[in-house]
Amino acid sequence: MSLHHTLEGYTVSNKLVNIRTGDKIFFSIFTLIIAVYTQSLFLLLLILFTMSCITIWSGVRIKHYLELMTIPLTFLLPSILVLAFLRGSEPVLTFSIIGMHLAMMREGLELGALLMMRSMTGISCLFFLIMTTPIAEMLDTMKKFRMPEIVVELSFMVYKLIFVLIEEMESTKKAQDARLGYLRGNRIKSLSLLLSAMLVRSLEKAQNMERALEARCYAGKMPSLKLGIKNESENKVHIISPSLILMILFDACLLVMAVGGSVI
Amino acid sequence: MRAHKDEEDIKRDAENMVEVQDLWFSYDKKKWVLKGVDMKLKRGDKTALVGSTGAGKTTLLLHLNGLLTPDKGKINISGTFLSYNKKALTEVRKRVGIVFQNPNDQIVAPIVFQDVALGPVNLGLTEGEVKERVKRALNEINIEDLRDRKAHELSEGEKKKVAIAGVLAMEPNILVLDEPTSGLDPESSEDLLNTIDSLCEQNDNMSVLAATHDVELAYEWADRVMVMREGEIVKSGEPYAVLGDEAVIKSSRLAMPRVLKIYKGIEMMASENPGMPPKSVEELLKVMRDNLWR
Ligand SMILES: Nc1ncnc2c1ncn2[C@@H]1O[C@H](COP(=O)(O)OP(=O)(O)OP(=O)(O)O)[C@@H](O)[C@H]1O
Ligand SMILES: [Mg+2]
Repeated sequence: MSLHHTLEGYTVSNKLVNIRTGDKIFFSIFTLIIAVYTQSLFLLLLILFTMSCITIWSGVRIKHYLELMTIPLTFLLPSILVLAFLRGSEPVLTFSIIGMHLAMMREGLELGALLMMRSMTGISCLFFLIMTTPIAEMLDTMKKFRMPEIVVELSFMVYKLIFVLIEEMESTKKAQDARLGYLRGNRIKSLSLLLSAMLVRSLEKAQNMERALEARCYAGKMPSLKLGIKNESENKVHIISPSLILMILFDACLLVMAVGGSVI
Repeated sequence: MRAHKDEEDIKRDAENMVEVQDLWFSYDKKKWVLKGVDMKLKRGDKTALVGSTGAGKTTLLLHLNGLLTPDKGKINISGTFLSYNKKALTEVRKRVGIVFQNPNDQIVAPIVFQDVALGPVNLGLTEGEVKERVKRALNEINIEDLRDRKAHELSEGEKKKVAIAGVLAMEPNILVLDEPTSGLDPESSEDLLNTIDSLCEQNDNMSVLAATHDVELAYEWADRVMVMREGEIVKSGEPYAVLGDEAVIKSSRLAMPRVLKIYKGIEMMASENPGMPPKSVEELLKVMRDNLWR
């Protein structure tokens, strides 16, 4: 099954689906802010661990979660490694490649580690949100918070089209693999063919989708999951809910730790 | 004044739900894809639009609810000429529902009821009305049990039905289907066509237009058949008269329905009129029994 469907499947059938979207957004964003500002490695680890646990507990398969986590990791690792060679003065490891002397610095390594933890923690906060909240609810809430319509609509389109791109890339690559397109010497040519084929087909798909939406008078509104609830209990509008209080408490603890700085 | 206009509308309505006059269209302004299409759909009819690949079927269908704007020509839907401002387009899209060839392009929401609700929600209906429409649409094509399923987990045939339900929730009186049975196995195709037939029976105002290159399907299913060749409608009328016309069929790169082909053979061999042209294999067997094995 494709990535898109796996994700969409989780968002509608996880244990946290009934928690209000606003609460989840608040929780995820606020925790993210703490993660961005804290200097404590311990706190970052704590947040990363907690967020991952909640997400996995809510119904995401560990295998999928780790797979998705490795995607940003592959982008992060090289740049973090470079940092280790550039910052600081106390070498921990020296070696030379083709006449170049390279030294890995202590300070750079530490900074890199902190940076990476911070990024991964931030990503775990966002993953929590994306994997437990259906896109329609997210858009709904964005609208409630008076986000401009164009931003909301754009978010939906980007969300849908990213997956169109990924799916097209996968199927084009499969077709090329089947014809041995990635053998030696063919790489660059195959890759550029892959990209252009992917773009053309994605454009076609996007156009089909646009027409299908237009045919049903789409005006930027996604039906919310609440439509599915048969007996109305969502009429009462509370600002405060138990889950929200719980989340605030959790974040407050984190905040105290971060500001207090007593834990390392 | 107003009453007078209504009367006129109704008169026109009663005959032709859709009338296309001299429609010309080109995607790239170099090659004409539609070259002066004329066609009429009658209220309550099931019409099949057949043509080989690239004949321009999809292009024609996309004009019927204003998704494409013609370079020349007019489209009349239930007595009103199509205009291309936003308000008029919303109106025509409520009347003309198009089901696209690939349901994966059409289904955008993760859960079935959510997707079916897309049209009504965007028309600005109240929550109660939306729920009512979703319920009715699912009921009309007998898929209430799919209501809470994840759309991507459905079979291809079920997806097609969900796509149709999404269109029916707009409550159109003209249902347009692009290649309704492509990608389905014979049983699912049959099932889908039966569903469409029972839909027509429930609602005798509903007209259905289906584009296809399956002549067998067109012959068995439709009340009327139109043949399209290179952007023109070359013949339209009774299925037997149109699909039995060898010259038209050949030049349009189509094949004659098998039942009809065999019947024509019998017609040549038999000494007298072999009776009504058969619609199905069973009817064909009867003709054979009556004429050849007597
Ligand atoms: N978006 C487009 N841009 C440019 N040309 C197009 C586009 N869509 C279709 N065409 C061209 O218009 C012609 C008619 O295409 P159309 O899709 O209407 O045919 P069709 O009868 O539906 O064929 P099929 O049975 O394969 O679906 C074809 O020559 C096609 O290449
Ligand atoms: Mg087509």
